[in-house]
Amino acid sequence: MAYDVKKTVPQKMPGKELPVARPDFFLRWEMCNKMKEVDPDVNFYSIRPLSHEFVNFIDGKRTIDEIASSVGYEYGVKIKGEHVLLLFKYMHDNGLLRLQQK
Amino acid sequence: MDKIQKLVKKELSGYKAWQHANYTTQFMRTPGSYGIHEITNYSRKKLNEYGLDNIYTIKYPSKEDGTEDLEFVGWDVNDAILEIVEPINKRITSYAEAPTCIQHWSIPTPPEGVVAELIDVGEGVYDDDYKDKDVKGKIVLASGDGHAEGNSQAYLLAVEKYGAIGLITDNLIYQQPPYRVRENHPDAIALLRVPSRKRMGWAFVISHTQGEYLRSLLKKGPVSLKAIIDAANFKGEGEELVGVIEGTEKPEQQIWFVTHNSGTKPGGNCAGGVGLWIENARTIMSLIKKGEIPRPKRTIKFLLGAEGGGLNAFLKSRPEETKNVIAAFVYCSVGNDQAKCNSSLILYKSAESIPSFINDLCIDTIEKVSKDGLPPFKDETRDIKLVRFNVLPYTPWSDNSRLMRLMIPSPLFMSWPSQHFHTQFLTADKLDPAVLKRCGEVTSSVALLLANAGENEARFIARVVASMGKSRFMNVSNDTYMEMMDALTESSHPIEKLDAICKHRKGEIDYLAERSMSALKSVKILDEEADLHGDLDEMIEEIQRAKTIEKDKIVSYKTLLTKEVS
Repeated sequence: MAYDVKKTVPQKMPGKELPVARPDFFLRWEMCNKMKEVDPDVNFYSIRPLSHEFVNFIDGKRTIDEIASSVGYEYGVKIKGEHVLLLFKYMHDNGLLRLQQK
Repeated sequence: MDKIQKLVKKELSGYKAWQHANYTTQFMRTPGSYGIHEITNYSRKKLNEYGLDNIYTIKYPSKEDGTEDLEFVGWDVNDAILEIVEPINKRITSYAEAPTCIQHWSIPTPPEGVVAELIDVGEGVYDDDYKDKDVKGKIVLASGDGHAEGNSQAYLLAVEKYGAIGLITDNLIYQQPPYRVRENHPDAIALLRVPSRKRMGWAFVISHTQGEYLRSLLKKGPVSLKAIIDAANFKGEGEELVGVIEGTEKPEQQIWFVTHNSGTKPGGNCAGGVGLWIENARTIMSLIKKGEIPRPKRTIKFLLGAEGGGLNAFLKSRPEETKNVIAAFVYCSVGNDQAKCNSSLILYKSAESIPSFINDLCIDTIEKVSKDGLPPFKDETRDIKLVRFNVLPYTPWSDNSRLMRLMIPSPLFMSWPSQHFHTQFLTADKLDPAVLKRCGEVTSSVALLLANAGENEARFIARVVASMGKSRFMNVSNDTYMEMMDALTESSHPIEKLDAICKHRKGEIDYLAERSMSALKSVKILDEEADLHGDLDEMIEEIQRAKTIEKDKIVSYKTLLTKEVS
């Protein structure tokens, strides 16, 4: 299923604490390589803190694109909604969050 | 500096913190090991000596403490030796020479050791590296990819997938050109860990010099190595040590100091956290006993255990305690000698997604206590900073990541970069009492301010947050002007570029305003008085006004510069 990052709002699962894990090794590299195309400042080690904040900014209101902007401002790097979607899609497929279309 | 800052500066000893750290570095401190228990006992003895109100331990796994499901595999080591036996006899490395050479959770060998042929698989991180190579029953040499995760991949592929008996790597993680790369740190042996607990194999880390030597031998013909490992994997018993200074008026509200006593040997970086944690407890208790500060209104809690596991056990055992934590100061490597390690103290901010005033308050305090060198025109006021102390966004290096998930404001203090990070060279002589002291001055001062904060202190904190917020907006609009001027000369489509910059920068100010207003609202936890809340509402309005002014400036810059292009 294709998600429009400007219209998709990630939702946490009620009563379920999200894990504090490193994203999967290969997903991390995929995110890193795609993000590096947009901002060469991003590296492998960027992905973990950025991912934590992607998840933290989920409040049931912000779209994926808005989360990308907020975290981009926090870290001073350019992040596209599509980059964040890579992580959220992985989490969604693993039953960790819902992706709701506006 | 204010009164508390001056008192802490006078009382807190970087040398005492260093001595605790020095003691800590002599032990291998893997979870469940003899060394980690030794440091827990040592720390408990110190807290008892200082007279904290309550000192207890959460054990795990333990039915009594509600942590029965927190089982883990402990690991400890007595010795490890790696030698070449063919085509020559030569010692490569040993635990005695470089304690970081043996990867944690390696299985033991028979006492006489094991001998096997060495196979070079290049990086060894991907399946393709093993194509057409028979590594079953042999020892794999992998260079890794410069990341700990690459070491994990190499071990899983070499040992668990393709059947090698062991892995040897000269992977140097966290390379930081130009200070820490294999070529200019060729003898460094950096801590790595066997990633799984299947107990199928072992792994050594060797230096780049040693790795290149083995590769040169392999070019001439077969090479066989002998590994002797006296280590044990066992059912781990963990403990989180908790020291408490009870609050007198609002004991349910808490300020935490969190550090870990786990680490490699010598592991000076982690040991610095232990040293300062102990010295902080002494400092605060000493100031209370001498009557220089009142007993705190809020509870101050000291938490020490294995990184990850220890704090987790506490949170599992006492979940109700997480609800009223105003801030948790997390220590990692807080004392690296900045010249010897090419390092700086870093405040990794509490995640901005968690509304809190704590980041701005820490930044303000760093500025105020960083008083080291005298300018030529003064005899009292030390206006010159000699200890580097930088501020960076949230980074999950330690227990701050677990606290972040619970939405507890948790600034992390550590030294970075570090030329000797997790290598055999990070011994106690690479720690600096002055750096330990600076970190303690900042964190203890902020902790004591929060522990005793009433309406006036809360108002002061709010003013710090408001003024820093407004200052950030101004910086953004100034930077925008410069960025737009550059765009005029560098971009082939300057008008479109100016539009894009304008939109992006206005968005940045909106983001910063939202964070500042959330931080201001968080001050309410310190005082319930209506007067303060009224002041906070006024400050929020100030922020909104400043936001509008700076965003208007950005639009005016765009209009002005667009005219130049037209």
